[in-house]
Amino acid sequence: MNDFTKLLILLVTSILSNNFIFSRFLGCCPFLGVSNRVETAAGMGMAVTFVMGLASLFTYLVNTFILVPLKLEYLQTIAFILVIASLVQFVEMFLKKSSPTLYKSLGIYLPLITTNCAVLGVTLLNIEESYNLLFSVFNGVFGALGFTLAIVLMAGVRERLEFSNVPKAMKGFSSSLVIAGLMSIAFLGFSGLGG
Amino acid sequence: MRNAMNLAWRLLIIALAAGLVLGLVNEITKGPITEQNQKSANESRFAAFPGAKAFEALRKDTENAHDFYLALNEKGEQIGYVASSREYGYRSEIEVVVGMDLKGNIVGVVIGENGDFSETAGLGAKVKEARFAKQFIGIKYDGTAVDYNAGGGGYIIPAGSITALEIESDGSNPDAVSGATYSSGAVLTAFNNAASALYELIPKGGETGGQN
Amino acid sequence: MGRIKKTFLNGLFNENPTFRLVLGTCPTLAVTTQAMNGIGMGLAATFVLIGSNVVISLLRKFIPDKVRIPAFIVIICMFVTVIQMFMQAFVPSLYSALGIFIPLIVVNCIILARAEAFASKNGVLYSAIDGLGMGLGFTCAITLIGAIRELIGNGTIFGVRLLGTGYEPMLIISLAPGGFIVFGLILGLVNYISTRDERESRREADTSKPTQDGVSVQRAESAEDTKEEAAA
Repeated sequence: MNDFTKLLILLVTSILSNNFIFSRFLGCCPFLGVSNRVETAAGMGMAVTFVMGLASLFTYLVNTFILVPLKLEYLQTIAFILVIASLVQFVEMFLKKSSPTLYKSLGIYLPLITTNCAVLGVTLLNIEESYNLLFSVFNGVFGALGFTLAIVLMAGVRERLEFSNVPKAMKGFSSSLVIAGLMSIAFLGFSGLGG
Repeated sequence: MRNAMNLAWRLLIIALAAGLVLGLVNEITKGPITEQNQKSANESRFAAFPGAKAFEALRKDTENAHDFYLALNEKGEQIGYVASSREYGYRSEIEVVVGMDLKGNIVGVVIGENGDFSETAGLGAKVKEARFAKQFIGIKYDGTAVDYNAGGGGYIIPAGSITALEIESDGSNPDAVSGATYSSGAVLTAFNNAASALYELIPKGGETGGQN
Repeated sequence: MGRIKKTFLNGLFNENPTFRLVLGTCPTLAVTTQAMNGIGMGLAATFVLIGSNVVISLLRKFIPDKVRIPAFIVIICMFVTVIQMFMQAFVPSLYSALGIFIPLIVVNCIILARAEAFASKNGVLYSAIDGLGMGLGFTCAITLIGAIRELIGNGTIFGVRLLGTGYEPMLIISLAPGGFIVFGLILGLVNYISTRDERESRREADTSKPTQDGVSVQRAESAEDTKEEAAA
């Protein structure tokens, strides 16, 4: 299998069969918190995709060129979270200066991303699966696309749900979780795709 | 500016202190962790080759199989080989350690004792059950890949029939764990990888074994 | 003494991080395929919560306000890595079962939220108690979910077979969708019971006017009832 085929398979598995939300449970907090409207959900998804790609790139570099040669692998978590936190800060400042329109649409989600476990999760998974630089970055981006798909779909359902008559006790998180469960069953149907 | 410096050195002190603590803890736990890993690797080897009294490492890793060991009896005679192979299941890698005697008989299989094994409990994790591994024992490996019953990929057997797996292994095909296609498939691939690598090591009486 | 008890019970019931605040959903959903995993995850998080709360409370005057979040994260991360290494060394099977979700305790919202909302404003003793209460609240909640999923999905609790061999396990509950659905339904039940309880106490308030403490104790009891009912 050449790299291109492998990347295609990675794309299919990380969006459909190994979806971050529906089968790996990474990034559930923003998934439940910011999925009220399709617009905000898409914004969050874009911001996460951007940061996850960059985070995968930088953590790969930090791990390969600093932590491994110095035998400091046990500092992985702490180093990665610092990379992510400063990355988010930096992206925020950069966007503010260079592209105010983009900042306007993504800016408010950026601070939330530091504590999105999908971001830290993907960087740790990259190391665990010993992906190379190319695959790490694509794994980050594809994983985030899967996250975006999930959160946008969820927002679509919840927009409709607002006008329906849900039992009072099931309003909010409770019904969202059950809906997520049903969507997850649908996504189980993709398992097997891409091996 | 002074304010910024103040922030920076305070953060730095916290980070340094944290690093120091972690270094210390790492020193404490490093020993037990390697010990733990070695212990489990050793145990797997003895479990994969029940008759063996000692093992001798063979530096002979192939693409799909590694950790080759020569199994010796109490007199120091060669009685077979052990090798392991890893394959990605549903959520994690599954390691399969295979023991083969000099005639190509599978004498033992250890499944999923690797530290990073984390298949779904109650489903994929069932490949760790002894009765699942037992099915592989006694198979006479002849170079052709072993497949599950009703092979051809359709190896999902009705739920609950894991109990039916107790059938005495007669060297015929094993059964997969129902509902756990990924994990069962990964075990099979890893098993075949290890077994075919071992099969190349054992002496064959003139005949050429079918390569896999 | 009263305040210690109140702080402790607050985390356990009134502001139960899982059922009332709905924080830390990722580990709640991911590791609860078995009750034992729930306990392991919960205790690991409890250790980190107590540790980080104490240290952050001690350093609350030293940490500058502007960079408090990175400072908190470094401190939390230190405790997470410590527990990760100890688990790898001494309970390797649990370590492998929890997998990537041990390092991900760092981004568990519960811990950062407690650091921000409680430990950075309160003394060491109360912060420790708060960490203990919140941690145990989290542990109880995810162990409960784990037990329910293990029972339905595998017929066992803590590996002990409770339902006979004739029971056909509902595999879907062990799989990803089961996590969402079980957690969602329990949340609904908790909501239902707590709102019913509030209605009742309001009705009582009209006649007897109980003190603030009375209400909170009653609520605590209702949370306990919920667990029993859900487990039944």
